[in-house]
Amino acid sequence: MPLLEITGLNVTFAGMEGRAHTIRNLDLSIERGQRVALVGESGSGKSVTARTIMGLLPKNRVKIDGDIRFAGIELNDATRKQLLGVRIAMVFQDPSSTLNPVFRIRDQLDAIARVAGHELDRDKTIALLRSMAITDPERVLSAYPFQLSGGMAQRVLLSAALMNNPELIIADEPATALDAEIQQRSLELLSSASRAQGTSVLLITHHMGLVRDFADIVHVMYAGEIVESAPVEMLLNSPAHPYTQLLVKSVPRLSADELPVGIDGEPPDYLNPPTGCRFQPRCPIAQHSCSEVISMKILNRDQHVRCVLPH
Amino acid sequence: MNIDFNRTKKHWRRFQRNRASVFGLSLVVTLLVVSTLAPVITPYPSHSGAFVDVDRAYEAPSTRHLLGTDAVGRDIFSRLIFAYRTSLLLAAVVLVLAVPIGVVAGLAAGYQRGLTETLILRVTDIFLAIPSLVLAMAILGLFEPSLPMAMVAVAFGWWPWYTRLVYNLTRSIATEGYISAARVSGARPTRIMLSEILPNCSGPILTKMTLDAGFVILLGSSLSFLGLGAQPPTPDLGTMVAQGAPLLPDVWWPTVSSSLAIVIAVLGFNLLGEGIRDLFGVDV
Repeated sequence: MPLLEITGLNVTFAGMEGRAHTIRNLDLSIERGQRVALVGESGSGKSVTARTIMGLLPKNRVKIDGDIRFAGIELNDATRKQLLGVRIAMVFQDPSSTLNPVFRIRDQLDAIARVAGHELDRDKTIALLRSMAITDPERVLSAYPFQLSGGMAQRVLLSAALMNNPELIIADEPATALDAEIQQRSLELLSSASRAQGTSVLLITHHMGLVRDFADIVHVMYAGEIVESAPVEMLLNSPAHPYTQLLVKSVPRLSADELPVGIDGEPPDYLNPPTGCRFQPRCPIAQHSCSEVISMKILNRDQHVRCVLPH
Repeated sequence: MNIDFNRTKKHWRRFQRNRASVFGLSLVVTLLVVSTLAPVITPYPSHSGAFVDVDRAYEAPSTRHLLGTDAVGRDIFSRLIFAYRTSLLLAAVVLVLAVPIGVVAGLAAGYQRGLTETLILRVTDIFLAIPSLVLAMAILGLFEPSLPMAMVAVAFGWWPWYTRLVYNLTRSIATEGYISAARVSGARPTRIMLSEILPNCSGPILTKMTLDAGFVILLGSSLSFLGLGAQPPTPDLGTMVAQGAPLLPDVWWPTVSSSLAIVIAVLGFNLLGEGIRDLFGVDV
């Protein structure tokens, strides 16, 4: 049984101008100890997926269909109360706004420990902070968030996510607000902690370079759909979907002589999406049959693709 | 603890930069100390009650009676100090009643949204549409006027201001990352409202409470000026202004001294409030 299993997820936002079908027929599963990346451009529905799992979307304007199971337990308001913060943790994009400005770090970590039903264990917390490359945990514990640098705050948040030894961490573009090196370093720390504790991670990012070093499995998202799923090496070396192919080509490489190629066109309007394949208007090899509803095709044991074209 | 002490010192230095707020603070502290020690420091403590000495009625200010005497020969200076007790008690009770109600309603409306929000906000709209003095007068008209009743009446019309304030603060704080973070770490709505959002509202709430203390004293005095607040012989600033008013301009000291006493109280709390506002860097 997978640790996290999402089947047939559909998310629709009701707005003034109509309904935006933001997530369409999304299937995703994460095994225990697996590091899975969800990649896609801004507005592709990556963060909406994460927020749907965590139950963070406002209920009155968003319609959610589908089945989300964690270790076989269906996620709903009641089960989330038991699971969130204890067995599932989340790391957010902007570390500086994710810490409450009026409390010391110690008190904020203590509040998280209390969710799991125990008090903050001082020695364990200091060890945890040290493992996150915080050299002076004592000072950090008694500091207020504004006294920490962005990278330091990010590492505090990673520690906070790891504190209750969750089985799954959802990292929504961690440290995107910070510079590339700190982002890289934060992910390395998360990666080694995940390896050490056997924690599964769902990494949400638009950064292909980070995915290469971090993930086992990659799901590529385009306009609310997963268009391709494959192990990281396979996806980068032999991408099957035209979007993935272009995406991989658009990653800048220092060793290359030429500048990377961009993808022409714009992401579709969710209020009025193209029928059939949502990438079809931008696809260089689109055909007539692309206007039909396209389901996931299994290319081989590990690689799945949502495209009608032969590969 | 050492850090806290330094923080307090730093805050004090910032507060001190504004002479007006320091003046306000000293006014408020003086009022609090003087009214607390009223029975000990006033020259005629017995004059705070139903004391009568008709022979000494309407005596002009002198060394014997610093601010003169009133219609029944009571020392006005002593009575003013006792009247501050009434006013400060009124302000304290009104704020203690109104602030928690207003804050809780504001948190609920701002965080829960939906029907709760609409319901609470429309009720506050109704309250805010009626001027506080008129509302308080209407309520007191229904009951026997007394000091406790005046406190309840003022508090009844005062809480919606805190609902409005806290509602707006909550709306903006609720979008902060740390609220999402608290939600996904399993915190219950009550805990998020009280331990995550409320502490971030404390600056504006405290500022508004200080500013309001002055205005509550003013409103309480207006009510007792109209005979709807504290009843004689309880010493009260508004009552004293009212009693002295018909004697103007010949017997000026009862009205002028008690009016100035109101001005001093309102001024003190306002200047102090300004100082606290600067300290927190907030707008109310």
